[in-house]
Parts: sequence; C-alpha cells; structure tokens
Amino acid sequence: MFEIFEFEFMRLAFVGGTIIGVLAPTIGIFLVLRRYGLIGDGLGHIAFGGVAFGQLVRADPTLMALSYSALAALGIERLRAKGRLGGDVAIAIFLSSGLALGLVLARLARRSTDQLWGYLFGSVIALQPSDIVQIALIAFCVIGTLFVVRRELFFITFDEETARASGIRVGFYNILLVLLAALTVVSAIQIVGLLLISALLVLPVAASLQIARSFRQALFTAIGCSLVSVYGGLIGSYYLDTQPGPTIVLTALLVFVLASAVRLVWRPSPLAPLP
Amino acid sequence: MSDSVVEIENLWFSYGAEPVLEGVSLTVTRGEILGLIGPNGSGKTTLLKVILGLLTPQRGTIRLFGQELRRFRERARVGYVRQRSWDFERNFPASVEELVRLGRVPRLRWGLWSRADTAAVERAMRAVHIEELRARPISELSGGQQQRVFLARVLSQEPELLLLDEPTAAIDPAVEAEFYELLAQLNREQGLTILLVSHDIEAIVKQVTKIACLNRKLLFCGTPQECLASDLLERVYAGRKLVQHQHPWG
Ligand SMILES: Nc1ncnc2c1ncn2[C@@H]1O[C@H](COP(=O)(O)OP(=O)(O)OP(=O)(O)O)[C@@H](O)[C@H]1O
Ligand SMILES: [Mg+2]
Repeated sequence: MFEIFEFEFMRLAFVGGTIIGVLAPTIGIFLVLRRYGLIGDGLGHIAFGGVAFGQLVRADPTLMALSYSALAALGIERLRAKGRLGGDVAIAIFLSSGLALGLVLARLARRSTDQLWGYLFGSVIALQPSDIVQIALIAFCVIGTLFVVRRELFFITFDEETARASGIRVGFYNILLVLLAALTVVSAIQIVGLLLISALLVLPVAASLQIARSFRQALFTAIGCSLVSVYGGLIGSYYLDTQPGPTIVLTALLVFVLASAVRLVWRPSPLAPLP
Repeated sequence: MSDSVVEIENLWFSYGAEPVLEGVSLTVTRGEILGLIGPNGSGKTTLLKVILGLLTPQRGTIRLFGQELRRFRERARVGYVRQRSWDFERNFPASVEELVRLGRVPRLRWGLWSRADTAAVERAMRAVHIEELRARPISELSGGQQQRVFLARVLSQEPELLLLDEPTAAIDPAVEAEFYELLAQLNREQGLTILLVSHDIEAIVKQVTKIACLNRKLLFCGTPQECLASDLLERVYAGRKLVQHQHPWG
C-alpha cells in the first residue's frame, strides 16, 4: 500500500498537494461567497497575457504574470464594487481581454503560444523541493493574513453595507482579498497547474456549503474535502496511471456529489414531505 | 459637551439630478426615541445612510456626538440595522452566534476577543430570546427570527445611538411589542438614543418621544400628540390609506 511513498516525486506531490489543499479552500470560501468562483480561471488566463508581455519586453515572466494578475484583480474588484456588474461578469471581461491581449502580444513577440502556456502549467507530480519552499511561504503569508482579518472579511462577505456602517474599511479589505487571490492563483498555477488550483478554490467549498451549519464548519469542512480530494486523487492517479491534476479534480467532484447526497438525506428541503 | 447626538443642518442629497433630501434640518438629543415616518421613496433610508457616512451629501452639515461627521471615528457608538436585513445570500453559511458576534468587531482592540465581548454577545442574545437558536444556521430561521438575530448583533455592539430601518417589518405582533419594550428599557436604563424608521404609525406613536415626517423635505417634527392632532398624516398619506384597505377580492 505504501509503496507509493517510495518515490521522491510522490512524496513531494503529497507535501505540495497538502499545502495547496489547505490554501485553496481557505481563500476560496471568501471568493465563492462573493460570487468570485471563476476568479481562478480568470486570473490564470490573465497571467498568460502577463507572460506574453514579459516576452515582448524581455522581463521576468513570473514577475510579469504576477503584476498583470494583480492589476487585473484590482480592476475586477473595482468593477464589482461600483455595483453595476456582478463579480462573474467583471471576471469574464478581464478573462477574455487578458487572454486576447496575451495572444496578440505573443504574435508581436514572435513567440509560439505553446511555449508561453508552459509557464503556467505546472504539475503536481513534477515538483522540486524549491517549489515546495516557495508555495509553503506563500501559503503561510496568505493564510496568516486571512487569519488576522477573518472577522472583517466575514462581516463584509455577509453584509457589505452594514460592515461599512460599522466603520470597517470595506474597500481596503476587498482589495486585500483579491490581491491575495492573485498571489495564490499565479504562484499555484506555475506549480500545480491552472486546472487544479481553480478547481480546489471552488469545488471543496461548494461541497462544504451543502452540509455546513456555520462559517467555521464550512471552512474546516472545505479544507477536509480538499485534502481528501488531493490524497484520493494522487493515490488514484498512481494506481490507474492517469494524470494527477485531473484525477484530483474528479475526486473533488465526487466529494461534492457525496456532500449533496448527504444534504438530501440529512437535511431534507423544507418542501419535501416529512417522514 | 453638547447633548445633541445627531445634528443635521440644511442637508441636501441627490443620487442623480433630482434631490432626494431637500434642506433637511433635524436634531436628535440624548435619550430621545425619534420615529421617522414618510411614504415610500420619501428619503428615510437615504437620510440614515447619510448620517452613517455611507452616502456623501451635496450640501449641509452633520454632527454626531458633537463631532463633524467627516472627522467622526468612533463608529462603534452608532449601531445600524438596515432595511430588509434578512435579505442576504440564501444558504450563507453562518450560525446565529457567529452573526451576533459581528456586533463586537468594531469594538475589538487589536482584533483580540475578550471575555467582555463574550458577555456582551450573551446579553444581546438573551435580550431578544435567541439563546436556543445560537447554533442554528441563519438560513434555517424564519424571517422574524432572522430579524431578531440582526437586532442582537447591533445590541452586542452596545451602541449609544441606534439607527433602525423598519426593524419590525418581519416580526409578529407579540415579538414586536416585546421589542419596543426592550428599546424602551435600553432607553431608560442606558440612555440609548434611537432613530427608528417605520410605516406602522399607530404602533410607533405609542413608543417614541418625537416624530419626524419626511417627504424629501422635513414636513413635521414634534411630539406624537401634536402629530396626531394635526392633519399631517392625512396630507402625507392622502389617497394611500384608501388603497390599503381595498381588497381586490372584495
Ligand atoms: N441607489 C439609488 N440610486 C438612485 N436612486 C435611489 C437609490 N436609492 C434610492 N433612490 C431613490 O431615492 C428616493 C428615496 O429612497 P429611500 O430608499 O431613501 O426611500 P424610503 O423613504 O426609505 O422608502 P421606503 O419606505 O420604501 O423604504 C427614491 O425615490 C428612490 O427611487
Ligand atoms: Mg427605506
């Protein structure tokens, strides 16, 4: 059973997966509850534009991806805060324009886009010890910041107007949240890939929302679901010889389906006849 | 040290071209319970939002506790329950207790939770009888129960000025009577100043010390007796009362 741990890359995959598995739903719960469920995909595609721009001006691609996504995250938040557009529309606008800009810039830089995408598609079974150090540091900073501002973020997520009336600097916390999201997404896509990070931001949270009865419970259930998906997916991919990222995502989907089933049994909807 | 908690002078506000508040001047003194009435769209909610600093007026001055609003930093002294406060994201994962604890957020020092904070939360939950509901998710409560949770939230904040926008719109008459009793008690014992928006004129004339009637302009401000004696209500609500009593099914 434990032969899988004899491989160095698998041990690293478990460590990296654990870090991402805790980090993603922790920030994801705040994003999902303010209808930013697609922000992972959005920022990922925008980062591609950043990498392409980096090629054109010969700047460091990682740095460009990060600053590009951070700017876009600010733009998304601004559009949403103005109140005329929902978070999903704001993300869609930046996603498509970021991607389009990236493709045009890549042509101008005379680069093939395949090569550029490579910067953004890490894989959880190709981790280096240095990747682990990097993602651990980022997770520490992001989770630490979220912990410090958790009450304000929870208040704002529940009721922005009342939070503002209570003297909470809503604009500041909202910007902080999207910047943390940009940092998380851009660093995670280079390490574990766009698919995995955008799925882990949302699916475990969606699963936990089916059964949680408080915010605290929702957070810890989401982390639990996420870790189960990461471990289940990694082990599954090893024995089935499938790609680890997609296998983890499918496991997360299975967890979501199970959680929905639990809800049906355990918490019948008010309309359902009582037994 | 002035005794006026809210001082509004010649306030003008508009969202677009047309003003919603036209030269409103109003003073609320410490220990008063002011009932703010007026037809739909008359600017009541807007006035509360301007007082809270959520909207910036085009003209006029506002002072809270004697300080100019722009410089006023002690937000925790002002509690607010917004209109339709039960109108939140369905299935939002939050327990009753978690939401009541939010009232303490503006009071926390360095973000540290103390025993005094827990005590305030317990008192607030007891005041509106929701101790038993504390672990329940908010989405599983009735509208009136939810409204009590939001009242508990603002009570746990221990404000000196309370702004309530139609707080009893979803609660049953028994709880409503109890709620007004609670407000009266807080007002008596702690000198809590209250500004209350309501459409239930009959109920609030019994509860408040002063009535203000708004319809873009401040039409009236005086005691409930003066209000009832005048023809104000007929003028303001002319034609509307009739509609209310007409049932389409006869
Ligand atoms: N965000 C907004 N943008 C533009 N106009 C607004 C906005 N909010 C309110 N208004 C307008 O301002 C006027 C006053 O609205 P307000 O909500 O203050 O009324 P109200 O007295 O609270 O009414 P109600 O009794 O229905 O709660 C209305 O005519 C409304 O159409
Ligand atoms: Mg209103």
